[in-house]
Amino acid sequence: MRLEKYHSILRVTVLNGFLAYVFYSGALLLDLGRPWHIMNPLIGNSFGYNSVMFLVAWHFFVYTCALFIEFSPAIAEWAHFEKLRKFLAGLTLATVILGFTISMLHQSGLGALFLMAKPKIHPLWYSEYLPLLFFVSSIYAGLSMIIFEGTISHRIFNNLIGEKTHHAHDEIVLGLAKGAAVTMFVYYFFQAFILLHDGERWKLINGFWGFWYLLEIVGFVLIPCFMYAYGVRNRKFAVIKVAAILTVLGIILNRLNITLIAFNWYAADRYYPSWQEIVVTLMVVFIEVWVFRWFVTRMPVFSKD
Amino acid sequence: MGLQMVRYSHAGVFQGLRKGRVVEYYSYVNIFEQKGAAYILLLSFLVLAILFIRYLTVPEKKNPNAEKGGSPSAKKKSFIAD
Repeated sequence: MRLEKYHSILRVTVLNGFLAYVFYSGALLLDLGRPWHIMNPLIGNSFGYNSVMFLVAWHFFVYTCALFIEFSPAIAEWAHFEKLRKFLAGLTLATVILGFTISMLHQSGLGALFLMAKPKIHPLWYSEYLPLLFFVSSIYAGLSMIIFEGTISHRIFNNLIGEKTHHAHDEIVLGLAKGAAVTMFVYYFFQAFILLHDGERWKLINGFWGFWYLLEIVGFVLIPCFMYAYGVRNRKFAVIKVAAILTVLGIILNRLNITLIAFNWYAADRYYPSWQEIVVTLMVVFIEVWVFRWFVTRMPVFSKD
Repeated sequence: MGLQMVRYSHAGVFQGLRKGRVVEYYSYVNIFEQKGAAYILLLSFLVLAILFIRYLTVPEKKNPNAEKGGSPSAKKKSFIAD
């Protein structure tokens, strides 16, 4: 499958994922409060074992642990613990398989959380296939995020990247863009099937909500999909990078639509985040970038080859 | 036929009244009429997916000299230029 070329971005991608999950947990703790309750799903204290939230909490925990174990050889290498590094490197294959399985279940689990909110979500965004849509969209979101983050890292940490990796970067971007294009193509048709499957749904494509839905599906799925395809075919890296930014924005818009914008869409009194919440969110993101920089400048994250 | 539908029973079986007696009968649904657009979309997806993947697969340069400093025609041009 010619996957060897992706080896050079393995550690930085895993680190990115690990920090994103850790900081997302931290942001949830800040948002929800009562941090001592975080242990409840893990120790089974006063928690519904049949709830999707229980499933998501366990997936979240296990996946974060798997990411940490995948990244731990870099920490051991940095600390000059050679025996420990060999032992941890031996665990990598098992943790990759575990992480792959758990992330599939966890992404679809996040979609399943919203299945119980049928009366609250606008019918254009609600579907019984939400778990499947969340899973498929998470694939191209991840690929686009790697392109986006890789492009920035490649520019900022240029001095830390080896010459061989530097030259391989273009081929890596093309491979990721190709994967993202195919997945977005499939996702777009899933959305079209869902729209047609229920005979009444397409009649909702009118007014503000209809056009908002079309903006998300056409503007942030179909157009970036074709941009990726054009970029791959003609090796236009600028087009691929713009497509990656549009795709990441599209995923943010999709998740915001389901959780916030099209949620309780009929209510007169809507929820809007306060400026304090926005500041706290930005603080969490910037601290994550800072910690990422700390790791990258000290540990062997980028390939020196 | 003199059959009057009363209610849907189960799995495509209906109950109807014929000459005052309750009878069960089947009613076949034209799935192509019901799901015509979905079938057309599915078929178009299958065809377009093949075309899309073919478009994404950039053909490898067949010329073995391509990676070693250009095609023979390019070399010929440079020779003429010299």
